[in-house]
Amino acid sequence: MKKRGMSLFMTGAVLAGTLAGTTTTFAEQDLAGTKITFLNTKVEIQDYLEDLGAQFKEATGIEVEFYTNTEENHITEKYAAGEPYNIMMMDYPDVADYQEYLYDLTNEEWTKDGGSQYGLTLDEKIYGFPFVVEAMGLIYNADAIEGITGEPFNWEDYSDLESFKGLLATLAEGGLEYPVAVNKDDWSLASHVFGQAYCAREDGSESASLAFVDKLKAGEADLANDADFNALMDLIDTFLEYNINKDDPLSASYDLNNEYLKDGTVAFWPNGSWAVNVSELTDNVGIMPYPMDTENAEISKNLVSGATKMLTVDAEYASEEEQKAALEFLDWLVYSEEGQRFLVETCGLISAFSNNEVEADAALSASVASFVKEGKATFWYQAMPSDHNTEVGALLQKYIAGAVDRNGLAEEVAAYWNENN
Amino acid sequence: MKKEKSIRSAIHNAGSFAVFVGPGLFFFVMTIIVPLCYGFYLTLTDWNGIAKTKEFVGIKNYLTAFQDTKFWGAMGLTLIFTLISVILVNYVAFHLARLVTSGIKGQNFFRAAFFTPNLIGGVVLGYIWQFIFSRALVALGKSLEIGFLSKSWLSNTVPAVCALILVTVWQYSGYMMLIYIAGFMNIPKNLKEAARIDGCDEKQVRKYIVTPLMTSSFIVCIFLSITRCFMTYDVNLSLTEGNPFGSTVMAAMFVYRKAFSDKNYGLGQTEAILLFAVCAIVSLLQVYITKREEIEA
Repeated sequence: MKKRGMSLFMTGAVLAGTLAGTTTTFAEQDLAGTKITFLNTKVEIQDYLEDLGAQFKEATGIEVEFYTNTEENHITEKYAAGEPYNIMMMDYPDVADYQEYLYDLTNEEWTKDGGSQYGLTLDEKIYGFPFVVEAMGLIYNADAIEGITGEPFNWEDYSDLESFKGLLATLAEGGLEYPVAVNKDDWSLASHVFGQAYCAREDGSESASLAFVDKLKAGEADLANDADFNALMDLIDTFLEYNINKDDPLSASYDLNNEYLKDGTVAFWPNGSWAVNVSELTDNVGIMPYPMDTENAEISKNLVSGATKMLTVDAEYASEEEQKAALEFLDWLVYSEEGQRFLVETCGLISAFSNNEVEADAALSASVASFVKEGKATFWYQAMPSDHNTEVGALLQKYIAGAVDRNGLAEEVAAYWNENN
Repeated sequence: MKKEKSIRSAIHNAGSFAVFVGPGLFFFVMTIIVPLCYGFYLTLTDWNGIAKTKEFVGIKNYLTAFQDTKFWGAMGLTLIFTLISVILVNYVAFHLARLVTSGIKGQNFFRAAFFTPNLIGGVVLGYIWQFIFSRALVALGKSLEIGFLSKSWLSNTVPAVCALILVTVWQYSGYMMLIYIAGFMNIPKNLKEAARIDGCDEKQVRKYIVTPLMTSSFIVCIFLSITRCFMTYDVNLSLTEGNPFGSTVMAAMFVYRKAFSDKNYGLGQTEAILLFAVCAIVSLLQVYITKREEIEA
């Protein structure tokens, strides 16, 4: 009897020992068969994501269900119903709203490969996985320009306001009477055209931008006499002078402006690097920094860029397995070959991670990638309050329609920030 | 024996009540009363729509709402819009109804034709008219050199509001027309004949016989058009989206933006309740006043 007890005990101990050594593989095996849900807010890549999901399932056995919905308050609704997605693609400004529900990603491996630089940090913890790096600036169609000037277009020659105005005048005389397409959409004007005011100034660093916004919130910024603000407004005035929608700036259409740039009806479109289809007809398109006469001339040589879409993991309603599976998926996006090729080759986007060596195909993305690789990037301030696009967008619309002058605009923008601190 | 019978019949009555009215009452309570009460509770908190905790703040939201000039601006715009739209919708609908009950050729076809705009949902309607105002009419105005059409109506506040009124009238006239048709059909022919025999001409028949007997139709149509115009959101969103620069945002859109886009759910809900209160007061006043004029044939 004693012998039997002893042998049983020994077997048990050996078994426990082997089990302890194999916990990692057991955990992976445990995750196989887990289903997680993913909210995609970039409608154009939905099909590619589903293909990626199939590859991921083959590799790890975890099934990812991709849902797409760009409705403004979709995530709020899902949390209200207690059924949020496990991984959610959010815009930069929205992550802070959901902070208390999200998983703290600070200790993930990818934070050292670009995750902490481009990811979203709140209270010193990382909550956002940078899904894509985008840039805002002036999209140009070099074919349209070269057709009139007759010489190859090099944006660096026109990175100050005088030369840029000269180029526009040349284009106007040469047949492209209105070479700029200005959007009317409030989100476009507020975040991407006027949005340059918050970051493309001083030395273009994050701290300079945050200090400026803090001054605005405290009501201490004198916009009307601020040199960098006036530099931006001078450029916007130039855009408006040569705006193809000049007759009625508020009846412009984003899609129509997109077509104008694509086929060369206009040469310049103040927008951002997400408009990848502009290279459908010609590869000779690119994006350049705003040619403003800021106090620091370097600003007009660096492109405002940053991660715009963040992947966040729900920690409130997801089970432990679902959370682990979600983290697996994020790791796989960064470290697996399929994950790296997916973002850059398949979707034509730009990865935030320094270990990603894949080259971008789409002309616009390649253009941005060259800026990012050479370190010629200005910090992109995105943490405006949720109503910034509606309120400041409306003010910009008034400006482009001529219903308010520059001083009036400066006053109202300052008043907005003062109320929203 | 009597007591047993009365108890049994009481239970029987209660049972019939439950079977017939029960389901409807249940859905009414769950979809209208419960959200209303929960909404009222939320107005006493500072919830932002997402946070886990809701802090009780008492009537602070109501004080803020009463001082919110932008909200009352939107309400004012909605009131003006409702006033003009209601008058126009009912005027057009009444005369359309008279037209299609007067015995002209193809009047059934016309009834269907005039009702069709109402079948197209508000959102689609708004997008169609947005295209017409900003592209089609502008192209027409530019080629024919007509001044006021060369610029899109939707780029300035007053023309944009006129556009909203136009689309609303186009959408609802057909619907109200149906109610007026039913009203016209219900007027007994012998009354009109008697009036004609007594020497009335057509205008007097219309003024003294037909119109008074149509009062109940007026009550219904005016009530419906007031409540629908007050709560307009779909056409507002798809036609102007509050543009130009937020000057055509009406009350319902303002409340939605405050609650969801500005992430200030407590205040948004408060303003929604105020909107409901104003709409209820106006409609009930209207029904009360017009009901006193009602007569039976």
